[in-house]
Amino acid sequence: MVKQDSDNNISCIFPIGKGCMISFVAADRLNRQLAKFYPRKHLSYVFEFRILDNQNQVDFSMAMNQKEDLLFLKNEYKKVQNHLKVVDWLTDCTTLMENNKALKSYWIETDLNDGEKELIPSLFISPKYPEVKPVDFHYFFRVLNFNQADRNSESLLSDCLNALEKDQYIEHIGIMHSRNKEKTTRVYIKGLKQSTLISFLDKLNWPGDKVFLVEQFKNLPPIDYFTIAVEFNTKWINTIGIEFHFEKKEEPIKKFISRMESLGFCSAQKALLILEIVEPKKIKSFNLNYRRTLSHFKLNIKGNQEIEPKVYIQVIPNYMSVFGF
Amino acid sequence: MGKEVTSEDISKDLIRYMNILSQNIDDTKTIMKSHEVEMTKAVQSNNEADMLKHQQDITKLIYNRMETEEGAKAMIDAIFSDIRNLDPNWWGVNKLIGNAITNAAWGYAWSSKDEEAFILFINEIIGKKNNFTELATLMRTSEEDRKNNLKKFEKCIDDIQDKIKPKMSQKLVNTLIQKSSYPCSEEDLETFFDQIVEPKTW
Repeated sequence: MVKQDSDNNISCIFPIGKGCMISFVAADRLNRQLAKFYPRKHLSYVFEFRILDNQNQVDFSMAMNQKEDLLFLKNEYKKVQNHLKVVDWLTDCTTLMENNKALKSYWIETDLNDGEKELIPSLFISPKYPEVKPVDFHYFFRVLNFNQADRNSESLLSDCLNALEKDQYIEHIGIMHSRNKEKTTRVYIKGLKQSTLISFLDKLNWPGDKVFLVEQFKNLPPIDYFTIAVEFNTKWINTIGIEFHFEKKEEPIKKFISRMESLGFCSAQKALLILEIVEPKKIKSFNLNYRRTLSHFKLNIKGNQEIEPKVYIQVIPNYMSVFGF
Repeated sequence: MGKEVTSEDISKDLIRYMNILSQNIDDTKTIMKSHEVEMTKAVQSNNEADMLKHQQDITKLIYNRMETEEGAKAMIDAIFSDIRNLDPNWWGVNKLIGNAITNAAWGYAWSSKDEEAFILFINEIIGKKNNFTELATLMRTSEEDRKNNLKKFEKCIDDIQDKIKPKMSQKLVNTLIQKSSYPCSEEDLETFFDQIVEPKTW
């Protein structure tokens, strides 16, 4: 790996500064976070942006499915974080990756900014279909939980697996460790339709506001598909995330951004900034090439009908540099 | 003429078949597995005739169990991306179904073994001393440069292949050479990478 100048990583990926989605302050924080993890040849990155006008925080997560990346991460936690629990856990993840055919990839949300060094990162597993079976989910769940899963939460996971019908499946499962004692398990469900969403949630006895949830699907531009993210600790929680995924077409994406503007989530000015970052871009970082594209939009609905809209941009390596591009 | 089959019909048919397999309806999975076992033996003993026979059996089974000819064809293509690679290519099939659902173009499905070998191959190039990148650049410059450098390029790939296990299949090597050479475009190469390396999604 080429020694990198960590000062400029983020400016190669996004416009930064006044009047951009990333302020100088946020860029500085992201650069410090990215310094250890970017660029790497097999890691993919997702940046999370808040859409509300007064919110400017930007976070990122990384996805991996190569053993060398897990080992790299383990070493980082060993020396920088001195976080032995995480080191043990990454060792378990490496073993799992080697032995379990139903595991597709990991996805980690690092919280490495100053003052948050003691936080345990949130970790997710994306299973492989159709290899994955319910027993694998329980095994993943235990590994994600430092091998300390309790019977009650295991039974909530079973309830979720039982509630799934044909063509509905868990796309990712993860534990939000960074919330410390408030940690929750989150499952992302793919394959639901607007017509089957409520019956699925009913089966879970999901306590949230279903009428309000359904309203969020009104007047949508054509989407490719949606997934939902639901969470539990000792019981199901009333928050829900709806992720809207689009085909790689400009028009519906533009319409979705306009819709958020017209719903009052953001100003016309911020809508323009969002348009700028969802635009696909080729990125060259040292000797590696990446592609920046829209991953999805998300509406996070909290119990009190509060909506937190976000946009996720992915930066994925594409090996073009190997061929001299 | 029958009713036109849409990509949505095909996608439904593919998902239906996966469901039949997972629930072993009409012993479909059992029959399929038995052919796979026989086919593995045929591959190991390099018995070309038996390999083809069992491939034919699986093909027949799929045609019998699926509703549309187009769906059956897509499923067969995905499973038999490489007859010698007996890791029944479920990633290929799964990817195919994913693509069918998103309405994107159906790419050639590669096996998980091919993907693994390709990553190892890339690892042997990035940050290491070799002339692969230099030759790849020449290969796409013009028809003449392609012809003049083909042998060297093949030799360079062979040398890298010697260092990795599993190795890329000959089919993958040929495609790699074709997609990186004149007159293929940067987009052609990018599309090829998208097909071979399963995206790590969120």
